[in-house]
Amino acid sequence: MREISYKNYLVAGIITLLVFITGLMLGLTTSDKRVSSSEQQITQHRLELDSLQLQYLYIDQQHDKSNCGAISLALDENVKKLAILGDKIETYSEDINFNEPEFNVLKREYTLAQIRYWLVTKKAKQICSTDAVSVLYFYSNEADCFGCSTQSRILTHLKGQFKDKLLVFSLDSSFLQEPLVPILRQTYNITQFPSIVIEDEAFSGLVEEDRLSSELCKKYQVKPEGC
Amino acid sequence: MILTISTVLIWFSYLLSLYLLTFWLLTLLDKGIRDNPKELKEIRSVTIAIPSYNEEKNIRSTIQSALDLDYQHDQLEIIVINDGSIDRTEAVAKEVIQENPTRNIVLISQPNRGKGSALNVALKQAKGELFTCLDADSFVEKSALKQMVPHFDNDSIGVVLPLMKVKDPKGLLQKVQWCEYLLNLFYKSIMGKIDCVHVAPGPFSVFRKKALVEVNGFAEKNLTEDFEVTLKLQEKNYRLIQLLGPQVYTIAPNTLKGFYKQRNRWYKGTMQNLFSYKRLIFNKKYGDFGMLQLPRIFISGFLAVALLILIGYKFLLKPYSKWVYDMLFVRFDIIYFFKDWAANFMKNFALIDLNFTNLFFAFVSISISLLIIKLSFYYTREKYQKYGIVTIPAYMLLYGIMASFVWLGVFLEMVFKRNQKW
Repeated sequence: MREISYKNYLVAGIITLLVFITGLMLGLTTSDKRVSSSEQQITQHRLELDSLQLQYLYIDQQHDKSNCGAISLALDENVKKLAILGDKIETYSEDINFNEPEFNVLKREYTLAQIRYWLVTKKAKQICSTDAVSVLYFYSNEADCFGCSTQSRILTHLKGQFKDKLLVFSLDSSFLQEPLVPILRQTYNITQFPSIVIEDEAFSGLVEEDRLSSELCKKYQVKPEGC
Repeated sequence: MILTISTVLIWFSYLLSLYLLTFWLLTLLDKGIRDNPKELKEIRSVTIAIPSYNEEKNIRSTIQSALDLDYQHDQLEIIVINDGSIDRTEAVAKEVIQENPTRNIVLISQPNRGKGSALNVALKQAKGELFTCLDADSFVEKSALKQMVPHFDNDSIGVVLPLMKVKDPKGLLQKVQWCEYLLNLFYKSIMGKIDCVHVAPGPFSVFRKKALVEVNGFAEKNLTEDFEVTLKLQEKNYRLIQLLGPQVYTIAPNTLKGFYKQRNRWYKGTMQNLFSYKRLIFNKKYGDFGMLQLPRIFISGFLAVALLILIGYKFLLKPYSKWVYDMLFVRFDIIYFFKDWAANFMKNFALIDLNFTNLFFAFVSISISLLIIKLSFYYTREKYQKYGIVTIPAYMLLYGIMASFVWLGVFLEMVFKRNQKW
């Protein structure tokens, strides 16, 4: 009978386990910080939203549109920041330590913030007559949505072209934890992904850049560069 | 689903590698590595077999390398087996014999039957107590035998192996293999301490002839007769010792095609022999060799292929093909997207965005790898930058991928039952 290094098998196993646990603990610590940072940013967005809503209300009451430009720029900046936060939350969710309930809460808050901003944008258009077009973009994170990443890229590219004249609000339609998403889908009769709603007009399936650009251009009173 | 499988597979592979590396380092700490040089007290007769097939260019230097060995001439027998060469191998061998009339050199010619057969013919004819083989593309250090023979001081010692290095590596491929050999031999020397040497490679592994005869010599229709004979010797509980003192040099393939062909034969032969000797796997009777070494070899091929396919698909093929596809819809405006990404990164990057779990595991892996490279170079008496600063990084980046592609080829050929010639 030949020798078996039981002791070294055991010690190697313990060391491997310790390394594994240390790695997981590091990740868990980071994960907690990520959650609190994301929550903090969402709270900040809520405040910004309240402030924007009040600002528009104030403008509406005073019939003084001189501040509309500055507020619109702030709105655009906040929408961009929120989109980045959304991307981060999605990336965090791929991490082994990021647990699903926390992710779902954050994602729900993020989705609600998107919808709130979208509603504020609509209101802003009425009050300030801003010449910005809002796009509600329905995508799905499910593997079967082949065109979603393509549509996202096209929208990002057009955002670079139209800048603050284009506001994009993305909604993950496969995220069913927030009941408002299915309601919006029903409102615009969204049955496939990707789909986009330009102002109140819905387009199903992938809308290529030239067509999307031309549809957006139709909505502007003063044609921006690129139209 | 593929996401789940790939994640589990990556974690499993990582933890298994970490476990094995830790075990390896523990064995090193436990058993040490250096075999103190032993003095040659008892001269033992040695037969050197030189199997050759169409080696007219190398055969002279190979025989000369054997003749130049610092060992008592009357205890050294050289058997050249011309295995059906159709070039001038036989004529050149005869010339060398005529030029060295006082030396014991025998030339045997036979129709081409392969290396295993050539070695068995030499084994039958051999008069030495010890038996070794020198391939026509290998060169041995003069003092090798003097350093190796004293280690046969115990009847249980079946094979003593020299430190095999790549001869004068020129291109990047040979340099990567040079690095690989150093690490591999260092690894084998540690595994030898717990009787886990899994292969006694062709170039100048010195066998106890009695042990070889006991296991009926070399398999003649085997892709890796050196692995097969090792399994037989391990089964008979003979011990194999990997030394890091005596050196033998071998010529490594210098083209990817050559590399693929050589490794394909090695890996395929390994799998075939593992299937033939599956009775040894997870068999406590064979100690660590059965419980650790053979299962490790068996599983590493499967893991290499699975990781190559899944990582290649998940992290390379799928995202990048989709990226290219998506970019086609925005007129491939890379500059805009790069600027957009850079601006976002500069503005929004936070430390907590980093994946500390993966970073920690990467740090641990790289640290252990660097430690092992350092130890390997130290014990094999080599310098890190001997063949340029890119050699070690190139080895770390490329070798695993290259080996995985060979494994993939092996599995595909095994699935489609393609036969391989030696």
